[in-house]
Amino acid sequence: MVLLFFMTTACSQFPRDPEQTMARVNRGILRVGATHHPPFVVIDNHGPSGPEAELVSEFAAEQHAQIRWTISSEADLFEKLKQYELDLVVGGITTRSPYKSHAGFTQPYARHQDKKYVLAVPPGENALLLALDRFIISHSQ
Amino acid sequence: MVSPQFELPRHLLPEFEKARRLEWITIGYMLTVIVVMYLAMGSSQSMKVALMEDVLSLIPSISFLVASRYLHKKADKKFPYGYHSAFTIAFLCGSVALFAIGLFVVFDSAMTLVQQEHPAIGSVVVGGKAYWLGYAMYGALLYSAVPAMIIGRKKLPLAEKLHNKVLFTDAETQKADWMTALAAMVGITGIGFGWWWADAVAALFISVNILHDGYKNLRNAIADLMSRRPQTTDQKEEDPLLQEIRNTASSFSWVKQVAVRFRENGQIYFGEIFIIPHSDTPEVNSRLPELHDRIMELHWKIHDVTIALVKEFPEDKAA
Repeated sequence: MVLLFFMTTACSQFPRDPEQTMARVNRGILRVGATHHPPFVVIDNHGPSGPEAELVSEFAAEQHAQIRWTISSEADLFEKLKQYELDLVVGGITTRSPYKSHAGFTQPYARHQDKKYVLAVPPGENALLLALDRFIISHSQ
Repeated sequence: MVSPQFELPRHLLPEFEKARRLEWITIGYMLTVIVVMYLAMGSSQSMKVALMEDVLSLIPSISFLVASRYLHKKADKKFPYGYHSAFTIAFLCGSVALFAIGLFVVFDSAMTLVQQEHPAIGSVVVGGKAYWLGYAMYGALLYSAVPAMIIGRKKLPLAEKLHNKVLFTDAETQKADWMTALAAMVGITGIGFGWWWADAVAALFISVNILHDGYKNLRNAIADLMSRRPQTTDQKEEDPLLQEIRNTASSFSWVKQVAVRFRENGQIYFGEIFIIPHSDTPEVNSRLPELHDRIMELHWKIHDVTIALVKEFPEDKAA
């Protein structure tokens, strides 16, 4: 029976997204929410920039998806994330963020002064989370 | 390092030692399980509940070891009935904890289901690569279940030989650990397939199990404190020893009728034997020591017996 388990998990996409986020991303659109939080994310006339914006752009490129940016406050972005209206949220989020329950946190892409900086995905979208984690790990090498 | 067990017959002392050793091993093993489960649990509700069950399983093991230290104390002036109730107390405390925590986790798991929380199960980095945390959870669950089943299987025959209720329930619970691990694994696999509710449902299943165990044990502990008559180790019937006592007493020619009243105190029995002797029995009082000795010889569990000569049996109190 244990063998059956592992056989089923090896075939097709595993884990999957309950809300099909990864499937949508593969169809070409990545909806990212960004909040102004220098130096991680800087919002100006040219749009979002900074190390996190670059990271996300590279990920999108790898997934052959176009980014659709939403600029707003952290609170608003996390609310949208929880409602599955966004696929990703960036803005200098750390593992200590009070919005932990609204989202899934990736592996930290950077550590600085005791804080671990992460990106946020919608709660339960584990396929997207794993893809991002793998991307982050391979990029920090 | 064992203290002399004055109530256990000599041939059972090594069995008791074996049981103590297994309980120490259980505690050491469970501590490692708790660490492993904590590290692997992530935001999975079923892992959280399984972890709580693991913590709770320390209670019977610790109770057994602590109570077994008190058993060796002989009765004294202050405690003329001895210290055997140490076991009953340990049993009661453990049952209350189990029941209370069972209630809590049932409620907690139901809430995650009702609030439709989608658990985020990310990754664990091993050797520079990211693997899905779910696989680590499978590993942790297998580690928490397989050795437990083996140890439980070893404890069960000892519990039967020692007629020890605490050891028996502990062994049965350990043996059934596979159910919790399987439920959690199914729940996590469900999450992998995109069914966010699978984890919460598995957690609910495990929680109900904990609550049921707590309830069963609590009922038993309370019955013990209410001085229920001794039952077989699986709690299903009157201990056949009681009938043996009745038969032995009846075999004496001067005994007209017999009724007994016994209760459990720890692993031994205390009781009274009510005898209506034939009215023409000469020097009936001198017959008592022989009867007493014969009864005491029947089994090591018969620890303290009072024989009362009566004209009629106390109503409803003995049989």
